[in-house]
Amino acid sequence: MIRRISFLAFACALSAFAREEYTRTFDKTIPMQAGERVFLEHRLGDIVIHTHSQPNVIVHAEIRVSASGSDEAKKFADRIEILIEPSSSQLSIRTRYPESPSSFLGFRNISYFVRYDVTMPESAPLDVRNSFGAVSVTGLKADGDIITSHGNLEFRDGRGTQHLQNSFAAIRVANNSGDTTIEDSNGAVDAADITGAVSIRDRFANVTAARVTKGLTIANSNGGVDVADSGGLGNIRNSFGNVTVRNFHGDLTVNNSNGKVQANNVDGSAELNTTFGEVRFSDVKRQLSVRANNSRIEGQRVGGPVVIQNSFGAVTVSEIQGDARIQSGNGEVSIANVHGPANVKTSFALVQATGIAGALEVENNNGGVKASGARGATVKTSFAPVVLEAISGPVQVENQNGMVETTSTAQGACQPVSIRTSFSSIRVHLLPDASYRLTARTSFGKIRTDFPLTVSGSLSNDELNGVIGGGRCEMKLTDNNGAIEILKAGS
Amino acid sequence: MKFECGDLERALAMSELMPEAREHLKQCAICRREYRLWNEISVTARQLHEEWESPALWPNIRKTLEAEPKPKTAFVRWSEWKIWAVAAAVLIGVGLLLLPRLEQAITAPETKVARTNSAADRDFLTEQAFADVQRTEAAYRRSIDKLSQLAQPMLAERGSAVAANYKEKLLLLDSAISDTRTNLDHNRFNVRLQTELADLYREKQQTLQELLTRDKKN
Repeated sequence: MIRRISFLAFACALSAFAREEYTRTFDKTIPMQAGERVFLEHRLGDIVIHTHSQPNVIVHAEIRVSASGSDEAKKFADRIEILIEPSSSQLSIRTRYPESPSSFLGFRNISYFVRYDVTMPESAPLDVRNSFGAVSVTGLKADGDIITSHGNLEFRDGRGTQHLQNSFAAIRVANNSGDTTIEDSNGAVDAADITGAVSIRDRFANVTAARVTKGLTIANSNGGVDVADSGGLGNIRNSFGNVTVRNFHGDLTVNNSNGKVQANNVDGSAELNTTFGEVRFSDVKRQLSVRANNSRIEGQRVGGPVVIQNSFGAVTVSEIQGDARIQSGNGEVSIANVHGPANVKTSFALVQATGIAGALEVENNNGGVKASGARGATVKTSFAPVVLEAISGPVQVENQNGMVETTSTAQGACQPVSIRTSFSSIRVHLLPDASYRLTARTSFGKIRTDFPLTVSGSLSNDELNGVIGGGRCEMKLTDNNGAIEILKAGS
Repeated sequence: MKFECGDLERALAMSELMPEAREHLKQCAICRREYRLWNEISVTARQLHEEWESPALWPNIRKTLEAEPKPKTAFVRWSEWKIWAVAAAVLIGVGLLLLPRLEQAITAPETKVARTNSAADRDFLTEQAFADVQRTEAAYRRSIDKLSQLAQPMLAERGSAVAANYKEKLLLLDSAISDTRTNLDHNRFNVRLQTELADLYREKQQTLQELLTRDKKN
């Protein structure tokens, strides 16, 4: 008996907790005047919008309700209203949900949503407000303002100025002729094939843009940015995420922080800034400017001048068509094949320069300098060696506590040399036809030369004044506590 | 006894149930995944165990959690980091276990209790699925709350851009969770809303996980 009662009680409980679903549809066709806009206000459910060339709007809505009983579900579904309100300027479509009633158990027991499928004139401007539902719009040939949240927003094959906004879900735009503004938060953005200017604002998600032709502005944070095959004026701001740009046809500015920056094949100029992330570039057709902190910078092939400012990171650049101006604190600098003068400033790290078509100027502290092939070199450093090879113009070196070694290639030309150091040696390699007025002075060291020397004045162990060859150019070598050697090149 | 998914947790604690559990695992991919996760966590926990400075792990954690957070406590002492790391790993593991169950509950096929118009419909939960969701959600929330408490010292680091970012994201997620829950109060069987809430919880868990493992990586 007890068992039977228990079973009955259980069966009653089951039937009390069973659920019923009810679906009803709403269909209406509404004529529209030219220039009238469509306004759709909704929440809790997806919206799909297509367009056609007819002057009317076809609204199809699926209203779905789940409740503990079929009557209750039907009653609630019948009370969900789709309000169609035409006016002279706008056709409004609104969803109105009734207050969900409390059940006898004291909690709300009904669930519901409405799903729209709307076909509208392609030339009518569109406003959509939705939340907790996806929105998909295809073929709109007029301006659009579409806002949703917690549901993907997809816009494709449009023409006109578009404003698309979402949060906690993605926005995807494919093919629009017209300026497009995209705002998202916590949702990925993917914009492609847009003939017009694009502005994207996002955070905590990735942004991808491809084939945007008339300028691109991206402000993102805490997510990656990837731009490809786009043009116009590019302005990208990001933080805590990487920025990658490929094939950009115009001037590009990237301001990033705590993330990498990579720019390849930029038709215009490029300004690339970041902190705590490496910068890589290649094939920038005009001038390049890089400002970074705690970053490694690496790149090649720049069609104009290069200005780089960095700290606590190595800089490696090559194939520069214009001047190079590089400032790096506590980071190694390596430059090669610069078609103009190069100016390098760093500290506590090595500077290497090769193939500098103009004059090389290096200011370093506690770091070595190694240069090969430059039209003159002015070098200042300390506590590290300076090695200069194949320098064809004037050489001026000021070092402390570090050796200096130079090799001249200025055949027949006058190449003034001025070298000063201390607590280390000076070694100068000259061509056999060298022609100098020499002043060499040192203390606690020897002076030695491979060249015949016509000496003038008094002779001493630590000072030498004389003439090598015809004495056409000035050579001044000053050392303290180090030897001085003047050698024939190749010896 | 017919072994069901709900019995797995019990079987892990009672070795005599394991033979039946193993039979069940052969046929059930979801339970296999859960079992694999348990194993991974056990292995990880064992590896970490060797480095504990204190055998009284949970009493320590409980004591820390119960203590009122002091505003000036901005940093975790290095001597305690291992305990925090283990606690975070365990909580993350528990979260990882609970989330699939929450998702499974939300997307579970209609059971015999429900009488629906169409068997293919998944727009609404059944009563049983809803009860499962509530149960697992509550457990999941508790585990996230504990993770949040563990993350508090890191979030309180003043002047740290990273901490500010995480804090902002967590605030954003909390606001979205609250918004979704408000909607769910009136629409509790709506699968979309339940899924959205689960997604937000997952993102919050991942964010906290990232924050808690960040110090170890750096």
